[in-house]
Amino acid sequence: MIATASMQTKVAPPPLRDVDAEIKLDARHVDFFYGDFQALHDASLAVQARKITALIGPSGCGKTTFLRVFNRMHDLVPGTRASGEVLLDGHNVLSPDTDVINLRRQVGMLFQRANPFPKSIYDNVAYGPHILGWSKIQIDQVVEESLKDTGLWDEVKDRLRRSARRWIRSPRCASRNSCKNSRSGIRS
Amino acid sequence: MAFHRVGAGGGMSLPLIRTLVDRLVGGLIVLCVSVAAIPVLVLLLFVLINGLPGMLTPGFFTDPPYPQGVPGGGVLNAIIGTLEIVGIGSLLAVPVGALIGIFLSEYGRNQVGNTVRFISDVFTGLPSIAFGIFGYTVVVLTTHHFSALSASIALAVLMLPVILRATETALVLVPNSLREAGLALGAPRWRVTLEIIVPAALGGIVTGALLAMARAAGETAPLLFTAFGNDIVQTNPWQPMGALSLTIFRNALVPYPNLQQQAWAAGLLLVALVAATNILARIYVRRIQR
Amino acid sequence: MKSVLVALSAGAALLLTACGGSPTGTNPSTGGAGVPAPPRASLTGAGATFPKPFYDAANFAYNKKFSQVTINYGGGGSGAGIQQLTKKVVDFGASDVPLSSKEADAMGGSDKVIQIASTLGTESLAYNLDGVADGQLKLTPDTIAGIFLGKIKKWNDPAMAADNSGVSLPNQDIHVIHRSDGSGTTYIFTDYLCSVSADWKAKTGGPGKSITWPTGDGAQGNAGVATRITQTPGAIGYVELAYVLQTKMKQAALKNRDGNFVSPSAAGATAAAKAFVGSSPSQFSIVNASGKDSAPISGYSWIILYKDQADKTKGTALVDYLYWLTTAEGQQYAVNLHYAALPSSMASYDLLVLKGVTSGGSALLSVS
Ligand SMILES: Nc1ncnc2c1ncn2[C@@H]1O[C@H](COP(=O)(O)OP(=O)(O)OP(=O)(O)O)[C@@H](O)[C@H]1O
Ligand SMILES: [Mg+2]
Repeated sequence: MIATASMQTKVAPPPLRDVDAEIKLDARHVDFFYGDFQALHDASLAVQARKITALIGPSGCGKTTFLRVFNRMHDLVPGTRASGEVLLDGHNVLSPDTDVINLRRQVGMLFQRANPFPKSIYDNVAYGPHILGWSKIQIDQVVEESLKDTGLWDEVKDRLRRSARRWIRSPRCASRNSCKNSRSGIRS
Repeated sequence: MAFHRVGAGGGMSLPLIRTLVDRLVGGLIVLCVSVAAIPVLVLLLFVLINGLPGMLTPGFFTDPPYPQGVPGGGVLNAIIGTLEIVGIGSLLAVPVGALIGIFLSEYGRNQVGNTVRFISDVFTGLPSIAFGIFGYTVVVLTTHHFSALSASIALAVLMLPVILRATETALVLVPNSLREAGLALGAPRWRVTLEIIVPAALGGIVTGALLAMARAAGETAPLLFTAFGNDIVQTNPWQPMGALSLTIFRNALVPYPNLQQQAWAAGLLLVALVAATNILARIYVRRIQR
Repeated sequence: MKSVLVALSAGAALLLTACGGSPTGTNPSTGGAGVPAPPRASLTGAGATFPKPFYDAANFAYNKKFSQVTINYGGGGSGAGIQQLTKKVVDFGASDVPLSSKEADAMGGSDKVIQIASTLGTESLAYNLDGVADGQLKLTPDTIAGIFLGKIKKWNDPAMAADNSGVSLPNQDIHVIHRSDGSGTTYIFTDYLCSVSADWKAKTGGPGKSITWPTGDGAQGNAGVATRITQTPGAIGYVELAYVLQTKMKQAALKNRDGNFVSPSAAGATAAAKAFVGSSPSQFSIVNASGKDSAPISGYSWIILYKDQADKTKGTALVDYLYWLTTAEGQQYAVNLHYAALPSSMASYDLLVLKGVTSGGSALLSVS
């Protein structure tokens, strides 16, 4: 609304000692508009593969907005517009020929607030792999792994089939990658 | 100024006035609720007192009506008829209504959606006899005989706007974040809708459907020239069929006290059925929300 | 296969008659020698509400006698019955007044339909007057016309007092109640008024199912009129006899053509019908009949069907049933409910026309 502060992010200088650093995602000169309101002004960011990158800024400066551009979540908000380039493995995410569904399977996202689906704990964790068409055995395995990774397994293993509504933060497998090795999951 | 006085703890009068105003407004609310509730309670009591004797006569639930002069008789034909007509009507209306509701909520923020909404609102405002005329013209006149099916179709059209609006409202209430959460996993829109949004809104959808069924069960006008009524126990949906509302309508107008008593009893049964449906809806919603 | 079915249904019929018995105590299975056994069919009829209790009772009895036939009579009013039959969604219609030529034309012409008299009814003048017991009030054609024309306004009007010596009629306003909906009951009543009062005929133009009333308030249906009368002190209105007897209203003794004061009754209706020889759908009026016992405001109730039946089985069941209805066996259910039995001349007329019902060119009714 009144926030006029523009995105302060500059293109991160390539890490000096890690010369052959692989840039997984490269956002260049992104402008973003909610209708007439410009939320991002020429924002750029390079994200390295297999590294955790944190985006820090005051409330309302546009962090969430920026992240949502990476998997085109802004498509869902009518009247928004993004310009510039967001290269994922060299392909511009913002170009019209991007397969959005496939993109979102590549770029997982966890939201600021947890959104448990009206399903059992098991189904919540399994929904991502389920979408990807994994086999039952694979899914069973990944559910157990994920719950173990987050330290919830012992607590919930007896009630996996029960409603997850009370389970504010059951870890959902956000994408093919984030399940296995968190290669490009986004945590908002 | 006032702030200061309270802060100083000097004014006992202020809490007193507050208490008084609180009591007054509380009393007013109780009064308003009573004004709304008393007629309903009186009506229920009236139906209960007049309907219970008829309901307790042997054969009321197990026999078809017998003509004047033959002792006994019940409303078995009408019980079966109401259940079957409303049942078939619901089978037709609920899936279609729910699908239109889903369309309106998830894909209907446009001219097409607005047109559908407008038509649905117009339908809600139509007198129920209009649905009877619809069933008569579309089914009875083309098949050349009255049938339970024509009544089911008339009632289905009557139920449709209620169901689709209830579905839309229930779906719109599902937080957008849930949709985004699903889509962010790379699920296509239709899967998110069917696998996440609809289950989240199921309570509202089921409630809407049950309320529509309860309303349909109480309708008389759409049945007059569709189901037509039948004193013989009939289960074939292609044949004319009785219904509780028709029993009430017909028996209330005859001079025979035993048939009038049957009308009251049928009224009580209908009220009980509708109440049971509503209570069921509430229990179901509570279950689902836990 | 067929024989098994017949055996089964015969067994069911026996069982029903054995358990249910007959409402009147006579055993129907021995009742009608010469009543043909109908084929399996479900028949639907709609129309006049006045004879519905009779049809319901008769249909029930017929189904006990011949379990292979079910008859569903829905009522709905004479107009609705004619309408449904015109649209061919029912197998027969019922009306308190035979088809007008316009209505017959809508069904393809008067030679395409047949109409039979099914029962007889008579109307009472019911009143609500403290201190005047049932049958104490005497009304003449003149006073009835005077009241419904609005000329006689008080119960103690001198014109009334002349016939009611010994009865203390109060100085109270007369409230006229009439039907607000179109009905055969109104037709018969206004037909009566036209035949007894030139003044009435001049003022209203002629009989009709609904007319512009010179005075009074309207109510819906016989039940509505009965209720209004019961609730309004000083009220008077015309109501079917069955309603008057069932609701225990007070009714007036009516002066008939022969000058006798009669209390309307089923027997009085039959007497009135007998006074008119050669009644038929085109000459159906039997109001203001001669004869010492004749109830003056009487009329036939009619059943209408197509002369050529598309479905032979259904058509056969229909004429078999309608024939049975007009025999003494069927007519007993009318008498039980305060309807009058058809005079034998009218029953013969019915049989004659029913024999004319055909399907694919061949007659359907096989009665000698
Ligand atoms: N749907 C929207 N429509 C219009 N303006 C929006 C919308 N969402 C966010 N904004 C605006 O865009 C700007 C950036 O918001 P954003 O949510 O990206 O900030 P943030 O950095 O994530 O803040 P926080 O730290 O509070 O999460 C804010 O000024 C906000 O008001
Ligand atoms: Mg944020």
